[in-house]
Amino acid sequence: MKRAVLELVVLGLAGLVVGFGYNSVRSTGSLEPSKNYFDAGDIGADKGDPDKHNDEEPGLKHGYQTISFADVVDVFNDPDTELGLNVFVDARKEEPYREGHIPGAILCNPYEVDACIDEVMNSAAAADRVIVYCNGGECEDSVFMCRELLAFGLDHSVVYLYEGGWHEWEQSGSVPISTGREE
Amino acid sequence: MGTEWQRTYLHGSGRMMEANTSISSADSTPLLRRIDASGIPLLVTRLFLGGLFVWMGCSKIAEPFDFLKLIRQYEMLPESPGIFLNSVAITLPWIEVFAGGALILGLFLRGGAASILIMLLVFTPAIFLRAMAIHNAAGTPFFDIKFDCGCGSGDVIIWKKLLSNTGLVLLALYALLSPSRKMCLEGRVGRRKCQSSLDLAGSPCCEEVDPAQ
Repeated sequence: MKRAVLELVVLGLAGLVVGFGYNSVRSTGSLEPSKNYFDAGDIGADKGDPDKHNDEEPGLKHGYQTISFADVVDVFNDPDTELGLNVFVDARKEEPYREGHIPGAILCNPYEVDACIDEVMNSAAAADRVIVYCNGGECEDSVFMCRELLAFGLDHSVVYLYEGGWHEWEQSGSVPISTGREE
Repeated sequence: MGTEWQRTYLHGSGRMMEANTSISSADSTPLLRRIDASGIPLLVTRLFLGGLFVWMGCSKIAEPFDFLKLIRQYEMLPESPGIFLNSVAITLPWIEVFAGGALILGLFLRGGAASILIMLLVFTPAIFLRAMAIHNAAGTPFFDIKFDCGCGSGDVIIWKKLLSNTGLVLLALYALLSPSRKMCLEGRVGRRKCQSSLDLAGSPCCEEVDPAQ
């Protein structure tokens, strides 16, 4: 049994060393060991505003402005969107994005934000609205992406959280869908 | 009075050297032990269990963020600071790969089996507790509950997952406790040591041979 314990420790240490070593050199999918990827970055609490209760106030989630499906459709159809004044950000992974996304949406997920944040910030610089979505339902990736956008300097007043997400958009049957990568 | 094993050891040229030669009465070796001594059941167990964990580990290494989100759902570790969850997401898949590889090769076999056993004993109750939480919160019948448990198979029906994990626990226990070392690198390494040493007592390379065979 002593031998089994020793072998177990050796395997555990090997996993530790190789795991962190590989994580530090891999080009994609590298985790920052100390980063809390699930910090919603509640801006209500950050602003110290006692009247802003993140999940209790209508129209807010974790302090971010929410937007309904009807309003998202209006924004999508707004001529200003063609001019780049309304930007959509898809916070999912590449594979579901390629299978279908809101036309014109920029792919950028909060776990690999470094790879895409420049494109988002360049597009959002002059935008009146930046609408962030993920799958919808219990998916929180859009919340974490909102946190990243604020962390990179976007003003909270232009950031909107589309809670219904891709599932709601797709299942409506009344709106266009794009596939593949946006050019 | 039962049969005592005649300890025989292969040495150098292959001549059998005898020690502790007292034998009495007829052979009463249990059937299961003789089957185990063939090495076949352990080999099948090693290849299946080891292969499964190598595959699961590789799928998690390929998608680390998906695995990170899944282990977060079990609420076994605090989200802040991130080092706890992130360390598990970074290292656990590799431990699965190494433990699985150890079983396949038959090297560090007991350590590999113990590693797999511990992982199963930690995560199987966690899966059950999460299913119970969903059952209590949403009222979903327990046998209808399905979710991605982080095993690399996507959404699974949980009661079936718990059943299969129980089977895997038994296989891991068998791999841990079986004395057979046939068809594994550990046996070969031990045999080479025997060829250069006359250490007969407790040597891992010693093969117990049933004198009745």
